[in-house]
Amino acid sequence: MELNDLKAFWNEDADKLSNRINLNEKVIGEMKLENVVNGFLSFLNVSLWGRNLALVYSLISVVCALFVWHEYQYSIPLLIGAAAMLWSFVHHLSIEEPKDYFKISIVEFQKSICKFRIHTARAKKYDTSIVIVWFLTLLPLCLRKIFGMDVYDNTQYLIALVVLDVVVVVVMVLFSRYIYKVYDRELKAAESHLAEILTFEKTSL
Amino acid sequence: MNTTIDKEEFIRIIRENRRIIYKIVYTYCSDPDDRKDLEQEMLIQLWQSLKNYDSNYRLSTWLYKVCLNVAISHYRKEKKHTDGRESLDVSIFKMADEGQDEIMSERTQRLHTFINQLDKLNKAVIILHLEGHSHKETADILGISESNVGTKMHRIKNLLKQNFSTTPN
Repeated sequence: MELNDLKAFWNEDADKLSNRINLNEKVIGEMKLENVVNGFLSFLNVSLWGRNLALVYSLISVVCALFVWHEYQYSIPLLIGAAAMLWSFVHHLSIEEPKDYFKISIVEFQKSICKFRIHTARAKKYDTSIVIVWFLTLLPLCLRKIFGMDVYDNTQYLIALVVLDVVVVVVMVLFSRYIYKVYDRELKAAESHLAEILTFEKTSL
Repeated sequence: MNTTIDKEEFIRIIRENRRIIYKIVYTYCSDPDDRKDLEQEMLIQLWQSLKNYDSNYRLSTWLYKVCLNVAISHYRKEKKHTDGRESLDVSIFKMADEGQDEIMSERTQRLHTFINQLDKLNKAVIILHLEGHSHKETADILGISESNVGTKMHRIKNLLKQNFSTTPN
């Protein structure tokens, strides 16, 4: 078969289609919000999960600290990590719970996205730091319990911990930069879509 | 252009060019639910892009440009589209005789099977070729070089020969 034969089939198919396709014009007239709402909800849910996980991480640190309570070189950093995570949880309580965005006006919905975007932009600096602090405070105990490496009694183990710390910091910084960039881009796109739908709705039919 | 064009005019443009949108949607999406999402994305992008429409270009060229760009980026997202997002419940297209889909001619089926095995950019190239666009127009619409279009067309022709030399006519 040659390309010309393919073209003939295509045109034949297209001619048949032209007679059969009609537009559901009412659907076009009522530009839907689903895609924007669903996209926003997925970001919101991820953030709420993250917030609740902060509380779980805080509890993990507290429980670990209780097990090594009298070894202050382990327990004090763990408590610092727990406090940092708890602070993160409390700070993120201001994230609004998902609501039925189809029932509110587009302007209200735009405000919700904008508020969330501002919250995320403000939180990104210390959120990354908190997660890094938590990892760093937990690592010495993990190394001791899993690999039997007491980093405070052995210089080589201590060097291994420092190397691991550097790796954690680099990975976390790169990962959070990427994630927050995606968040910001998608939320800006959602706001822009809403603005277009608003313009579309304002024009007369 | 958004400031001067109204919704009625927008719907007229969509109505007159419905075949282009339909063809692109059906070529890029096999899943009916996903098609509805793609239609919606295309409509929003078309509405947004109207303000940048350059009247020196043919309207259909602009339409291809927007729709194919949306389809290509949607195609990338399609695999990730299992995140629990719900699809739209209504399509913008109404078929005059729904049953016809199942009695597609063997030739048409082969045509679609062939196009479906191409990657996202080659799909766009073959659609534009079959719709009668020159290499230059195709390059302009897809934002690639004319020689790149030529190379892709050459590969598609070879693939076509390979495919149909092994299957009976």
